[in-house]
Amino acid sequence: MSLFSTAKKKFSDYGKLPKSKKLENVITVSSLFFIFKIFFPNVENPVVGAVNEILMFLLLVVWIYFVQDLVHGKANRPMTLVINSGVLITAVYFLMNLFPELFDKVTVTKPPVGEQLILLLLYFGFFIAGVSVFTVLRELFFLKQKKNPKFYYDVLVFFLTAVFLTRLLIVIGIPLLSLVSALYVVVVILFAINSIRVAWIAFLTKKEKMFLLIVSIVLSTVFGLIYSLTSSSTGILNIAMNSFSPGFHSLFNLLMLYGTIAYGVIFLTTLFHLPTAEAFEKKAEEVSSLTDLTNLAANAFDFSELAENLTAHTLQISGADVAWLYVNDEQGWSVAAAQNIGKEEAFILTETVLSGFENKIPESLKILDEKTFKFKSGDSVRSLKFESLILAPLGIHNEINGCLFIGSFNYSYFDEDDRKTIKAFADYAAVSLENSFLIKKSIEKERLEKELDIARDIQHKIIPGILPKLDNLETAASFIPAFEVGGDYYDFYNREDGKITFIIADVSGKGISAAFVMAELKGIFESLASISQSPKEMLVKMNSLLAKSLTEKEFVTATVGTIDTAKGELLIARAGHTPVIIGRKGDVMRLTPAGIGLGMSGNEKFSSVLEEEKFLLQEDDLIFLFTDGVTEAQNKYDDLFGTKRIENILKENAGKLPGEISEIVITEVTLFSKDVPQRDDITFVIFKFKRNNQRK
Amino acid sequence: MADFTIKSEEINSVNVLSVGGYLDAHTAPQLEQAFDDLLNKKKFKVVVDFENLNYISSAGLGVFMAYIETMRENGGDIKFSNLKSDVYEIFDLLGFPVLYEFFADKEEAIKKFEEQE
Repeated sequence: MSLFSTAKKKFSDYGKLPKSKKLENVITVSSLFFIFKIFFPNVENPVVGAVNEILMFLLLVVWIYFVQDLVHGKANRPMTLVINSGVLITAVYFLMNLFPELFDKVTVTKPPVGEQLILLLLYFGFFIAGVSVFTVLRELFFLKQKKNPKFYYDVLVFFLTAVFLTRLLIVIGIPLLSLVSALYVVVVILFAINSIRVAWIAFLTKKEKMFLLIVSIVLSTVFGLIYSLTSSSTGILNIAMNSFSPGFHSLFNLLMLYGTIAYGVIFLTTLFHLPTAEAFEKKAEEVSSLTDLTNLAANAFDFSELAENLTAHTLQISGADVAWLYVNDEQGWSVAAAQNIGKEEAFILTETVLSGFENKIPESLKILDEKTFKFKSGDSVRSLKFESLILAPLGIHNEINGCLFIGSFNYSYFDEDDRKTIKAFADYAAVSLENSFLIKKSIEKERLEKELDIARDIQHKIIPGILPKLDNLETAASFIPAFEVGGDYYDFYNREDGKITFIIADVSGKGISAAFVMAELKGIFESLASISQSPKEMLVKMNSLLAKSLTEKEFVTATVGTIDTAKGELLIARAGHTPVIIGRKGDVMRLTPAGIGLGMSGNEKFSSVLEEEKFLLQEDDLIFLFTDGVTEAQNKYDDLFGTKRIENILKENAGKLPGEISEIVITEVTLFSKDVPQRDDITFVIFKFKRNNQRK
Repeated sequence: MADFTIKSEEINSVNVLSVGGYLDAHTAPQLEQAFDDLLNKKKFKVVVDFENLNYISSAGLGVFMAYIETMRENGGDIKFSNLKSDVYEIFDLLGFPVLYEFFADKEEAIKKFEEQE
């Protein structure tokens, strides 16, 4: 047995050699054998016979390994393999019948060189055909086998080798004819066993099976005919082949027998498989349909495309006449896809069908048999008679967001399998629908976040980074933007006459649209402030300029003011904005001159309502400007921070500098709303009038 | 976040929208929907009753501005009633009372519509 396993190891090593090396060996050994054959065409002499057989053995080995590599790539197409070997073996059969007188001469005397060469080429042709047929049978044997059947195959190869070697011994003169017969019996039994491995037939389509049925019976017959030609004891071919190589002759005979049996079994198996071919094909199609859909779902952002495929596949599998998918997406209920029926028609039909279910999609799969539905289609009333109509709800997380309808007009019966398949498709549709919504949502979210990034960027560029430095005035400002970008804005302008103009504004709405209005506001403010207009004049112009860019529901509240630090004079106008709070020695007051928000009314009305208020500042007066983000900061009890709390801070910290007060306001607001997310920008500006505070 | 509620009823051919809770950027679309419904039904006389409204943001205020012109052009109006003082303060600061009519309760507002006819 150790000899056997060493041999096995050697062969398997050889099998791993590259193709080019194998081809090299094939050419070398073939040439050697060819030359040898020209000198010694017959094997009468035991020595010549032995050399002949050893060369033949080598020839078999190198050729089998070479052809195996060639055939292996085609293993997934069994029909191609069968046809190729069929063509080869039929050719062999014709050649054998074409030149009977040629083979005849072999037995008589040494034939002329020309004929001998033709004969040799013919033999070689048989040889290659034999090797190919053997390799193809081997491939078919291993095809679609779940358990590794290598053992059975190895045993067969072992006995075939034994046959060959026994023949070799006979050639040298050892009488072993009875052993050969015994081995023949074993090999034939092994053939029968190995021929049963034909699982691959089940996976063929019905068309392929029909074809295989014809091919296999023809092949089985051809193999049988060749076998009878080469094995009959009186036949010329028998003697002729023996003169080529007795060992190969035996193997060839056996191979023909193997072919007869194997293709016979294939014929019978295919015959028995034919009635179930259609059902098997349908099942295989269902499986591959689901796989296709899964692949689609992984790549489809577009639910409508998926719905189209889903309904088409459902129709194909169930053999029904119409199919449509009724779903609830963000825009409400609609028919996402329909096969063999118009979408609008399907929609009306759906409503008609569902009216029988209290206008709700049933929770489980329902089959309606022999139902006629009358519904309006355009101006006329249509009536559709279904032999069978399936309603398969699309349910996910106990929520039904759609229904798959499959109807047939004449195929009256949906069996249990169809139900299961349709249910699987509906479940599948439910998941994909959910997925496509989630994808849409996440894309939308990403888009909003990008937009907010831009808005925040704009806002940061608009809000001044540096505070004005002026005689007689201490300044502090704070801006805490909300995640959604609230549209708050403040700015200062140092005028040539030594006064300072300031603005604090709040654009309604949030995000990028608010940020754009802010940007526009900044442009307007800077150009108006530079021509030294009064706060009221500025706001009136702002109202008319902004009217063009604000939509109906947008508006801006703003307070514009100037401070004459030399005289200690504050002049303000307020367009709908929060009051200005003045802190004076522990007391507070609100300045709320009349005014409508910007963009809320025409200029005439706006200007007639708008008041300008002059306020004379005293030493250490605090001016507090803010947006509603401060007063509307909420705590977890839904209380608002309110103006009162600001006023209290100003009262209690009258002696402190704006920077210190700013810190206190931020701390208080933060503490107040610590458990609640910030909804709006928190913005405020503080001035303190210090007459004797000379900077320079 | 606190909820927003809205109820629509018709009293003597005037439509009363009773709003409650929090009206901000997130709940404003519900109010817009209510106004759209009224426009579809060609109802232009509207009283918004604020009895239960606790908070209004700039987005909420914007909704009224968006519809007032259409209502007035069609011979109707939007009138406000029953505002809590802190909610009224917000309207007041913005200058709404100059542009819109405010009433202590919805009956008064409805009466005003009837007088105008």
